[in-house]
Amino acid sequence: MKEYTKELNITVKVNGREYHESVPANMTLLQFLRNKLLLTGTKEGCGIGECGACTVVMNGKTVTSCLVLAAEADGAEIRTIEGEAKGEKLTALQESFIKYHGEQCGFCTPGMIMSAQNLLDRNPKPTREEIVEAISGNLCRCTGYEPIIKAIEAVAEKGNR
Amino acid sequence: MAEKISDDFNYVGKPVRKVDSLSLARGEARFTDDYDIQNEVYGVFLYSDIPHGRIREIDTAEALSIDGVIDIFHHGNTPNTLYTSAGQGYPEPSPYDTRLFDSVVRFVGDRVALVVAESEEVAREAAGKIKVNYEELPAVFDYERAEEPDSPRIHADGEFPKIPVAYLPEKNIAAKIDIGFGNIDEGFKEADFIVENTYRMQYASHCATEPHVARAYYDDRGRLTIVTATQVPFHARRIVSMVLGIPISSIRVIKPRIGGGFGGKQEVILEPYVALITVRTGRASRIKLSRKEVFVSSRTRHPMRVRLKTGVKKSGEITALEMDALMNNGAYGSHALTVLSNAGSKVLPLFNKIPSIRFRGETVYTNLPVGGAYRGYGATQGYFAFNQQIDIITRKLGLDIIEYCKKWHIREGETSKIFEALGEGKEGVSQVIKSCKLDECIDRGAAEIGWYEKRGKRRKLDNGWVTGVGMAIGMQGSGIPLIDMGSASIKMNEDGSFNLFIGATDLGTGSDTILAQIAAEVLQVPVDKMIVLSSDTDLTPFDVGAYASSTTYVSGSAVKKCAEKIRKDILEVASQMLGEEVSGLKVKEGTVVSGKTGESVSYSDICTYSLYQGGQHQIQAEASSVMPESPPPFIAQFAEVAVDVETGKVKPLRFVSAVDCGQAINPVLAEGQVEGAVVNGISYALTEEYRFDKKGRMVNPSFGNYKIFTAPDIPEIKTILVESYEETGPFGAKSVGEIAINGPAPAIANAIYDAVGVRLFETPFTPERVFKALKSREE
Amino acid sequence: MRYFAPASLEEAINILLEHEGAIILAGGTDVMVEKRSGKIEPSAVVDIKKLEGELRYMRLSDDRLEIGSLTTITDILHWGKLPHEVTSLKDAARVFGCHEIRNRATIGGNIAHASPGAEFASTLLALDATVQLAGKDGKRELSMEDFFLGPGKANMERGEVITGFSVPLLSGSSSCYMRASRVDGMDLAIINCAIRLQDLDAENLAVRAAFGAVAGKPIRIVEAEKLLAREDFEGVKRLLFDTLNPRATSLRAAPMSKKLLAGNLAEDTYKIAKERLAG
Repeated sequence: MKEYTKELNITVKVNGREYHESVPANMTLLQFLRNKLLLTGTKEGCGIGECGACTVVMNGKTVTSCLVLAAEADGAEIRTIEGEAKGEKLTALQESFIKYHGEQCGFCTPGMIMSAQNLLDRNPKPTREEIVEAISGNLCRCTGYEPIIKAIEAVAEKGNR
Repeated sequence: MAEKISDDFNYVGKPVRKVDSLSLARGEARFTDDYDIQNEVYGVFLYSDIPHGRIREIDTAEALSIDGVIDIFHHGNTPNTLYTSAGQGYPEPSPYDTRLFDSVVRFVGDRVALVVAESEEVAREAAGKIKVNYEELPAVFDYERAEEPDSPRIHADGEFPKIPVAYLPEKNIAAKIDIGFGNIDEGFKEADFIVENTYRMQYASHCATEPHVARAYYDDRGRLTIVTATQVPFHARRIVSMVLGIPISSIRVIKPRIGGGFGGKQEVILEPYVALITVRTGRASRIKLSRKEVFVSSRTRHPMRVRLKTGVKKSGEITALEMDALMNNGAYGSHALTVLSNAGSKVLPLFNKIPSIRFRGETVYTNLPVGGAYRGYGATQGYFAFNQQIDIITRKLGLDIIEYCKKWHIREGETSKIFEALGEGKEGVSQVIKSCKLDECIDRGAAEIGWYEKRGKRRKLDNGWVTGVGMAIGMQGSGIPLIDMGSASIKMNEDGSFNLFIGATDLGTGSDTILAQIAAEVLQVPVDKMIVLSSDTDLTPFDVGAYASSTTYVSGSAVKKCAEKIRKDILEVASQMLGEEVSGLKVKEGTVVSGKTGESVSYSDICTYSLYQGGQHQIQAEASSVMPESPPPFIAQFAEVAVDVETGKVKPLRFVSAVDCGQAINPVLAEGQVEGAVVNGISYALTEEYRFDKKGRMVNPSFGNYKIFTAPDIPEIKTILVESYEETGPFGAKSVGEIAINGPAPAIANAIYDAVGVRLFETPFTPERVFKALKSREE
Repeated sequence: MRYFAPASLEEAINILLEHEGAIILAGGTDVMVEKRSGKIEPSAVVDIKKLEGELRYMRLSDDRLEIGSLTTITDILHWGKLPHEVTSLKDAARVFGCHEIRNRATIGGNIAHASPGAEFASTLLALDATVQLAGKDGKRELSMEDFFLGPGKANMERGEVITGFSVPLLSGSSSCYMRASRVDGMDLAIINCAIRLQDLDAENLAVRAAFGAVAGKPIRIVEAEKLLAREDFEGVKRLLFDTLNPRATSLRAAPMSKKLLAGNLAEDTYKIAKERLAG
C-alpha cells in the first residue's frame, strides 16, 4: 500500500470541544469531520471546492472543508452546522430558513447556513447584494435561491441571532 | 371520493412548515451517506475509456494483489441478466438492454468492473491497476446519423425489450412512435402557408447537490437492507431482486432524506451493485459516485431534435401539425419510449382544435452518456419547439400572441384526441379537462411582466444592451393514468397523533409535508400530529415513487382516502362513547363533537378507549389510489431579457410564472417547486451543456466547467399561483413538480427575438451562438 | 503522501529539495483540487502556512506596494490602505472564486500555477510588478513577463518558493481589472483584462494592457495599448479580433467568442481605469 496512512496527531477544536486525533496525511477536514467525528451535517457535493456543501467556519472564516487537509486544521477552531443551535434553541437564521422555506432537500442547507451566519457575524445588516455575494459559492438546485436570500434578509433586518 | 369538505380549509392551502425542516436546519437529518455503518467495504467502478469496444481480456491480478482489495467484479464473474435501470412501473416500457457488466462497452464511462476494498482510496488505486484489453469498435456520436447504414450498431447482438413496443436495435432505434389523426396532407393543403422549423436541445445533468450513493448490509435477521438515495424504492427492490435472483422477501429498501433528484434518482443505478457486494462478501457496502461520475455515468436529459411543421391559415388557424422528434438515448435505452412520447403527449393536446396531427418519433442509440428521466421529461424539449413556433406564426401574421394563445388552447369541458392516442408505452387514456385557468395565468403573468408596455419596444439599457420579452405556455400531467399507483397507511396513537406511512418518496420536494397536510385536513388535526414515515419497503405500503408529477395527485388521493377511513373509524368509536349516531357527529380540532349536545371527546380519549376499553382494536387503515385520468396543470411563463449585441451575451432580467396547479396544498412549497424549476430551466437555456471530445469523452464533468446558476445569476423571479379546483384531485389539487421547467428556454428564445430579431433554434443560448445568429442576420 | 509544515523558509526549501515530487501547499484551492481530481499525486505536501508571519503582509514603502505571497485574496479585498493606483488588485480579488475560496487562496498560489487566466496574473503584469523567489541559492526577482513561460509553466526551479510581489505605485496612475465569465457567481474567467493608465502630460496617457486566457500565458499586447491610448476602441476590437489566437481547448468559450469579447472587455476596462484616473 502507498503511504496514504502517514498518520499525524492533530488537536482541533470543533464546536467548542477539543479533539486529539491521529489522522492520515491526506485526509481532508471534511473526511475528518464526517468519518472521524461523525459530524455528518457537513455534506460533500463535489469534493473539489465547487459546490459549497462542505462549508464550515475555520478560525472565523468560511472554508470549503474538502479543500483543507485535516493536518492543516491542527490547532484550529472549527464551527460546523452541529454547533449552531444551542440545545433546543435554534439560531435566528435557522428559524428563518425554516420559516421562509429556504430548504427543500436540505443538502445545501448546512453549507448555506454556515456561509450566511458567517456573513451576519461579520456584518449584521448586509444588503441583498452582500448576501448574494456571500452565498455565491454555495450551489442549490432545488429552491432557485430566492427563498434562501429572503431567509437571510429577514434575519438581517431584525438583527442577528 | 372528491367531495369538497369545505371551501375554508384549515390545514390545506396553508404555508405549513416542512415536516423535516427542523432536522435539516440543524444538520441532523440523515442522508444516505450519513449513516454510521460499521465494518463497511467500498465499491469503486472502473469505467471504459473508449466509446465502443469488446472486452478481450480483463487482468485483475495486480489490482487484487493490493493490500485491502477484497474482490473485483466484472462481466466474467457476475450475473448477466438483462434489465433496464429505468425506475418505471412494471413491465417497464424501456428496453432490457443493460447488464451489471457487459463484455461490450458502449460509451466512455460505461462500467467495466467494480473493485471492492477496505477503503475508497484503495479501491480507487486498484481500479487504476486493472488492465483491460479491448477490441475497439467504431462509434457513433452524432445522433442525427445514428440510423445511417454505415453507423455502427450498438445493441445489435441479442438484447430485446421486455414489452412489445417498437424496438429495432438493428437500426440503432430504441423506441419508435407514429400516431396521428385527421388528414394531415389535406390539412397542409388547406393552409395558406407552412411554417416548418427544427429545434434542438442538449444534454444536461440534474445536478442534485447530493451525488448518487447507496449502501447495503445484512440486518440481524439476515435480510439484505439497502439504504439509497432513490426516488423509486419499490422499483429498486424489484430490480435488485430480478437482477441478482434474490427473493423480494429478502430485500428491504430504505429511502432516507434525499438531496434532490429531479429524475436523476428515478434510475436504479447503484442498488444492484451494493447488493451484489454485500451478497458476495457478507460485508456492509457503500458506493458513492463522485461528481464527475454523476455527470458522465449516471443519467442525463436526453438531447432531442424536434421538427415542427404547421399549416396555417391567414386567420391564424392551424390546419395541420406534424411533429417529428429524434431523441438521443446514448448507450442504453433508459426511458427511451416514454420521454419521446411525452414530447408529443404533453404538448399536442394544448392546442386541441387542430384537426389533423401527426406525431412521429424515434429514439436512437449513440456511444454517449445515457439519457434518463429529467424533470419535464420530454415535454421540455417539445415545448421548446412548440412555443417558438407559435411566436413565429403570430409574428408572421401580426397577431397578438397573448390573444392567440387564449383563443386556441384547450379549455374546461374539452378534450384532445392525443390523450387517448398517446400514453406511456401503450395507448393513453381519454379525459375531459375539468379545470383550466390558463387564460387567467396568461393575463396575470402578462400584467406582471408588463407585456404590452415592453413587447416590441427594444428598450436600450445604459450599457447598450437591448431588452425584449417573450412568453411560453404549457401543460403537464398529474401522474400516469391507470399506471401510477400510490398507497398510504395510517394508525392512530392514544395521544391523538397518527403515524402516516407512505411509499411516496420525498426527495426534497416537501411531499411528506403536503401529504401530512392532506391527512390533517381530513382528520382536522394540526400537521404536527402527523408522524410521517416515507419510503421503507418493509414498513410503508407500495408507491411507484416520485416521478411523473404524481405524488400530490396520486399519492395524495391515497392519503386522503386512507384518512377518510380513519375518520370513519374514529366517528364510530366516538359514536359508541357519546351514544349518538355517526351522522350527528363532526370532527373538529382533534375532537369529535356531538351535534345534539355539543359534548365532545378528544382523539386521545377515542384512541385510548379503542385500545383499552370498548370494541378494542387499533384504529388503522390503508388505501391505494390509481387514477383514471391525469389532469394537467397549466402555466404561462414570461421572460424579460437583455442582449448584448456586441458579444451575444444574454442576461435574464425578470421571469414570471403564473401556474394553475389546482388547489395548492401548500402554496409556499408549490412556489418552491415552480421557482426551482424555473432557475434550472433558465440555467439550462443559457449555460449548461455537455462537451465531448472526438472520442466521445465528456470534457467538462465538474461544476467548474459545467456551469449552473448561482445566487448572483438569478433574475427577479415572480410566481403567481392561479388556483383552480380540480374535482378529481385531493382537495382540488393537481401537480406542480415539473411543469415550470418547460417554459424558460422558449420564453427566453422568444424574448431574445423580441430584443434583437434573431431566432435561436438550439439551446443553450451561449454568447457564441447568439452572436453567430446576429452575424448571420447581418449577412 | 507525507505532510510537512516547516517553520522556516529555509526548512521549506530543504524539504522541497529532499523530496522528489513534493509540492507546496498554500491555500490549497488549486493543489487540493488537482490532487483530489487525480491530476497530481504528490509524494509530499509542504504546507507553508506556518510561514505566515514572514510571508503574509501588505506594506507600502517608497512608492511601492509589497505583498507577501501568503496574503489571501480576502486580505487584499478588505485591506483599507490599498492605494487607489492599484485598485485593479481589489477588482481581481472581488471576482475571485467565492467567499470560501478567497479566504484560503493566496496571491502566491494564484501566480505559481501559471494558469493563463489567473486573476492576479494579468493584474500584476499590467501593474508591472515583480515576483520574488527564494531558493537554496538565495533570492531572485523577476518581472511578470519573465515569470510566465507557458500554460502551467512558471520560471521556478525545484525548491524555489514565491515569497512576494513588489508593485510600483506610479504617481498619476490608475488601474482596473475585469473579466468575462459564464455566470456571475463562482466561475473562472473566459478571458480577462487588466489595464494600468498613467498621465504623462495633458494629452498623453501611457497604457499597459494585459490579457488573460487568450494565449498560453497572460500577455501584454503593445499594439492594443497604443490604440487604447488613442481611445480607438473600434481599432482595438478589430486588432484583437484579427490577431488573437486563443487555444481551441478552452472549456469556457470558443476561440471566436474570446476574440470578440477581448475588445469589448478592453474598452470597458480602459473606461473604468480612465474614470479612476480622473476621480
